[in-house]
Amino acid sequence: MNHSLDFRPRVRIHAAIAALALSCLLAFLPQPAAAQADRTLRVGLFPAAPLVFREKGKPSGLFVDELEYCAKELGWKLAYVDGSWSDLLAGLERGEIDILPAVGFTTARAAVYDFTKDPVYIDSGVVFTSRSFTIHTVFDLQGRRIAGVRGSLFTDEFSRYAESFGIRCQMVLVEDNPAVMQAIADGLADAGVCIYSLGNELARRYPVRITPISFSPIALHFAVPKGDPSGVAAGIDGIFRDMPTGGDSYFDRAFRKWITPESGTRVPLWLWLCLAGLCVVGFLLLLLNRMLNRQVELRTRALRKEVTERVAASEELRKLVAEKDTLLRELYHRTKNTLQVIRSMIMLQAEDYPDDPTLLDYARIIDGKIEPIFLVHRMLYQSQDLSHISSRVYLRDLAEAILQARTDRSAEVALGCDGLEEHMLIIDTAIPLGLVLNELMTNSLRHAFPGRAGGRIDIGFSRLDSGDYRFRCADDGIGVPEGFDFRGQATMGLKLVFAIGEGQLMGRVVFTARPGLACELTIPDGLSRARV
Amino acid sequence: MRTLAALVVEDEAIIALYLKRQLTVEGWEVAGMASTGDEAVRLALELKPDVVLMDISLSGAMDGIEAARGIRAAGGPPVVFCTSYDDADTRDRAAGAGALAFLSKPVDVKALRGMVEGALPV
Repeated sequence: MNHSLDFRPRVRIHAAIAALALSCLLAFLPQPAAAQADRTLRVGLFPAAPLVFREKGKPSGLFVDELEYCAKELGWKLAYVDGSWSDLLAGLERGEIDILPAVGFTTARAAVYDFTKDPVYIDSGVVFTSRSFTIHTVFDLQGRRIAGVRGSLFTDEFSRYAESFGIRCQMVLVEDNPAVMQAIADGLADAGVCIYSLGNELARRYPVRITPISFSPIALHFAVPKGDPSGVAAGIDGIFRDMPTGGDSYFDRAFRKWITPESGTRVPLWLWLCLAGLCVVGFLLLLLNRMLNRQVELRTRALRKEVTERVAASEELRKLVAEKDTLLRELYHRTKNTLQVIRSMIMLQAEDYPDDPTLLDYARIIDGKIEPIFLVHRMLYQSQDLSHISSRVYLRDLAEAILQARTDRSAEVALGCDGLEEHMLIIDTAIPLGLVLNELMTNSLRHAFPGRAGGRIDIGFSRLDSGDYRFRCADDGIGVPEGFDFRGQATMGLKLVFAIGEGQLMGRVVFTARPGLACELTIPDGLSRARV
Repeated sequence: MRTLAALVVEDEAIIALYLKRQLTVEGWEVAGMASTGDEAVRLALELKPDVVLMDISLSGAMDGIEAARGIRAAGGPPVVFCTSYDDADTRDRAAGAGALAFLSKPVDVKALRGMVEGALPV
């Protein structure tokens, strides 16, 4: 116990000295992460999307995501300090900022700051121009005004890069990268230099365009005050080192979230809305098209049915017309046959009285009156047109038949038919006209040529300018005594001519005597109005 | 002038009778009368007239054209069609039956003589 008592005070002194020395030593050594839990780190924040920036007031970007992950793992609290790039860089040097993201590593900076070991992103400087200024090589920038961020690595690097080609530019220094773009947009600078990732983002909001002139690729790290007094860089390095590889780590996902979209073209919202609108319109058009197609299909089907029905109806009508034609032709044929039987009976009956020439003469007169009716039916039966017959053929054939049937052959009578024009006559006109011709020719043959060796009868049928028709029958015979009253005569022949010509055909009969005798019958238009 | 003999084939009795009267007046001999195709063929071959005056529309199953074919096929006398069926179709059909002529009714008997005499062997 005494022994114990003896040395115990010494041990206590040694232990106290040792503890003091250890405390002093620990105070100068970088503190382990666990020991820094609940510390608040001041983080410099500046507009450099997509690496580091504020989005709707909230710190965002690749470096911010990675730093917050580390802070969560290590129990840090982060307090973001907004500022310009040059101010933050100066603040970092003075120890007023504990960590500054997206700082390009250079030997010169390494003398002033400490950097995390692994770069978070590799970027480079790029030249941007206004949209009205087109360049192809760096030589196009000779003598131009170039905007750059004051104190930016890329501003200095561009100056050196241009000078290496002997190009002299007038540098226009501004406070940050958006100001570079604004200077170009305002015409204060012809071009500007900017880190690619940020410049590409800014080019969407400013009237500038990116050029193929790229320079000074550089690795971006987190930078901390020289000596890493808070152990922040060491902590981050530890997290990075322990981070599993394989493409699906938190950092990989963050990289894809912020950087990968840059590899393609970001589609602006208005374009998405337009595309959506186009899709809707396209869908509606498709729907409309289907509806129209359906309507067309239904209409086509209805039309096809209608056409089929009409074709069937037309075919039925054609058959009916053909049947009607056949029946009509048969009717003409039977009428013609019946007339022939009647004519045969009359002549047979008359020939039973060979000693009575008057009776035979009457029989021939009646037969002559039947002849026009018979001839009309025969011509209609033979014709393709069941309603009309040719005036020229009909009147010529009838006149020849009358001439052939005459009994008095004391004179050689010539028949002139040159005045017959070709018009189409309906049955209602042809028969009465034929009866008139029969009466007039019979009269001429009987009375015009007494004691003469020959004579001539001319017949004509023509259309007048008024549209009326004129029928004419004239002989070159002896004519009639002067003052002969045609209308006052009691003969059946003349009565028939007036009755038919004026009463039935509604025409006008005019006789002209000397030389010979001529009869003209003028009848109104309407001779060819068919009934069937 | 030689007396020509004719066989009248006509199913309409009045017309047949009138034709017979016209032929007689013009100096023809009417060798016989028939109203059907069968009878016409039989009498034509039996009586051997100079000509057969054949109507086309006849009573019975055989019409004038078929009867004419039968007569010509059996070496009978020449046939002259006398018909009121004088449309183009009937004429075309009759043309194939070997007929001497095709006349429309009423028959012009005076013209008939010259036609038949020209066709007979001298």
